[in-house]
Amino acid sequence: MATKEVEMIDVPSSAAELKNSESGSKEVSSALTLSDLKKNVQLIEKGVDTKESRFITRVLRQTTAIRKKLNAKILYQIIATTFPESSRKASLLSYVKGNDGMDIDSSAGASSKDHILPEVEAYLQLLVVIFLIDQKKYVEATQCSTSLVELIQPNNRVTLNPLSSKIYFYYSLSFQHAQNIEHIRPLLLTALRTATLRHNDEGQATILNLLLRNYLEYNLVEQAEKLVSNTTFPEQSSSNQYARYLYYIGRIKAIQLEYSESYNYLNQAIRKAPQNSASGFKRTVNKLLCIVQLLMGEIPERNVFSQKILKTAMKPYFHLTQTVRVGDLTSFHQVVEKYSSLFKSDKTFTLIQRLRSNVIKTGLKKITSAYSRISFADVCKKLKFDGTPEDMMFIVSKAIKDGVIEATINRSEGYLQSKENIDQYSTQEPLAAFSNRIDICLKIHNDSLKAMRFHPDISKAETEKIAEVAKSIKQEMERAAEESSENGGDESDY
Amino acid sequence: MPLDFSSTESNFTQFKKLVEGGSTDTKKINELLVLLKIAIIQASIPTEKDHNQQIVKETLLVREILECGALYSIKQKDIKAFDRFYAQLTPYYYDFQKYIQPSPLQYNIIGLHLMKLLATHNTPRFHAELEIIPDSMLDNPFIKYPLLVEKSITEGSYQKVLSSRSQVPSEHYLVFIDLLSDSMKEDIANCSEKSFKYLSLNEAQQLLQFNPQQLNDFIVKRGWKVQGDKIIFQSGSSSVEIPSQQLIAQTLHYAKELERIV
Repeated sequence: MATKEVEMIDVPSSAAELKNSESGSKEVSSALTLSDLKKNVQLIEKGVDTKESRFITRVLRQTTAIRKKLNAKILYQIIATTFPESSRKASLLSYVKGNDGMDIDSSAGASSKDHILPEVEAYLQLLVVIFLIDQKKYVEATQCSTSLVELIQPNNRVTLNPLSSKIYFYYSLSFQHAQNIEHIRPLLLTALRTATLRHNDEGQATILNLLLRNYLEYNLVEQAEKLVSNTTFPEQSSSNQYARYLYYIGRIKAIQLEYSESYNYLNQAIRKAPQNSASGFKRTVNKLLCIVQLLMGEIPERNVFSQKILKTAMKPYFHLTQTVRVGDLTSFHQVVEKYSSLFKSDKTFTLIQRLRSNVIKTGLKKITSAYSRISFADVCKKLKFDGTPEDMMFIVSKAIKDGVIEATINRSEGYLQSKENIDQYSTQEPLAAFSNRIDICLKIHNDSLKAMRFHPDISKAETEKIAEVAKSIKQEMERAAEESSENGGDESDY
Repeated sequence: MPLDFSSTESNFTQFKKLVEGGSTDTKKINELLVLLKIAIIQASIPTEKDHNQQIVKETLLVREILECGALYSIKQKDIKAFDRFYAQLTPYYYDFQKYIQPSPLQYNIIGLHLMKLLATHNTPRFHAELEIIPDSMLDNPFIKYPLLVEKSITEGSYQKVLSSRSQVPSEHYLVFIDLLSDSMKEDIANCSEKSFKYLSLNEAQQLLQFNPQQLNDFIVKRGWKVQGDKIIFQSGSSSVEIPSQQLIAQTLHYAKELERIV
């Protein structure tokens, strides 16, 4: 922002001047960042002293903003001033230094302290890791993060917990960029065990997700499924982690053909995801959700495809949905062919290949509702099916058995006869639908009752008052219950 | 105890010769197999730090023993043994692929395992295994065949499965096709009951690929009615029952919930 203003004012002035003022404003902003970092270090120290991890969480929240402003010089200065002389300090400085032979004030290298808290140490090294990842120096990032993980693993301090989950996240990220993520599996598994034993919920959730991601990166669905079935996701963890976890389970279930379960998990994942950010996550989930819905035989709603953040990403899926809805095999194959590389990179390709039978089924549904009697050869032609009428007969026969269409087959003459539309109200359908809705309403009522809480700040006298009111209500309820049971008794007497 | 490489190798060549020669001396074969299995336990495994020539050589031998054993177990129709061999083989196919050359038999055996999963109706596992196979290998005839079978089953083209006997990529696949064809016939029968009103005996024979005697047994087994030369299927309009139990339970549930609200 500052640089922009400078530019606007100094338009006529010489380029050299412009450069000068630009670097000046840069210096100001870097000085600000440095002071921010110093404040953060103090906050961490305060957090450790008072054993309150919320200070540390606050620091981590601010780190996202700081991340954008980080540069080698700031990092060098902060590390130089806060670390005592040690080999770790030297190695950290070497990561930062080797960048762009900039002039570093060597006098700043003299440290003022002879002691450092492990939390501060971990935080600063984490910053270095993030910085290295942003600079795309992935190999250095993996080295740096490995030594960081070694630093925090033997430490059992409650105040390290919020830091550790971040650390494991960036540890995994650096390895993923360096493309040898499979090597860290054993370490993550031990870390998961440690986190579980120490009741480090946030860390447990993060590591669990990292492991799932790791397995699914290599398509090891079975291992991922076993991990899920043998662990419990900690309830206390943040909803962001929970959303990720739900997405991974949804993915596993989709591959294992349990579409309705997968649908539920994915839907929940979208709901748990942050409202205004995480558009990448939402896009990925929505893509998968769309395919799962199609596989269930449902058509996703149109507004899914028209949302602003999803529109371009979902376009191939929109075309796919259209062909499934129409039940046209040729155009289905065309769409799959056209976008196959994209589907492959989205890892939805194998799922999409299963859609073929769904396309046939929707096509059949349409045909049976339009024709009362049609020969198999015509069905083949209408669906642009690439087999013989005989094959078609078997497919139709299965569709009848699965209850997709209501029809009978006349084999000797080779035609398909649709049954008259059955009156839906003569079946159990409406009953089931109503019962379903009533259950949902009751559940909402019960959940909202459970969610009601008394405010902790209300004084004791007031709470007692409320309790009294509640008591009288309860008595009234009991009386009503008794009356109604009496009434019930009376009725049964008649 | 380290692996005695030379004796294991000689045992294995003997075993291989007997198996490939179609020998019927099962006692001798099993004896050798036990020795080989012990040798497998003793063999060293390549790691990130240590994968020298000797270890790679041992790994290759173990893999070959396991592959041969897997194929032999299929010949003996011992599916459980095949399962065990396959479980032992997976690390050699996926985890050690950095250290050793891929085996020429690899996709043959993976394909067989896929067929096994289909024959035992374990479709979730089937799809999970399929995810691991790289895209480029999906056109491999050994993988393509189980894929084709799976597609036919989900579509309902059961007859395609039955008639695909002639297309099997190797004789070992026939074992699973035999296993599958029984369940395919059951599936065809299930579908026919629902979708046909009647079916002539000739047509039924064609559909299920039976000879008249087999068809008769099958009709008796499923309790179908035969009138003249036609099988008559009961149309599915059995009288609709009122699910009284369920209704009572539902109503009581509503009453309870409402009472809590009011």
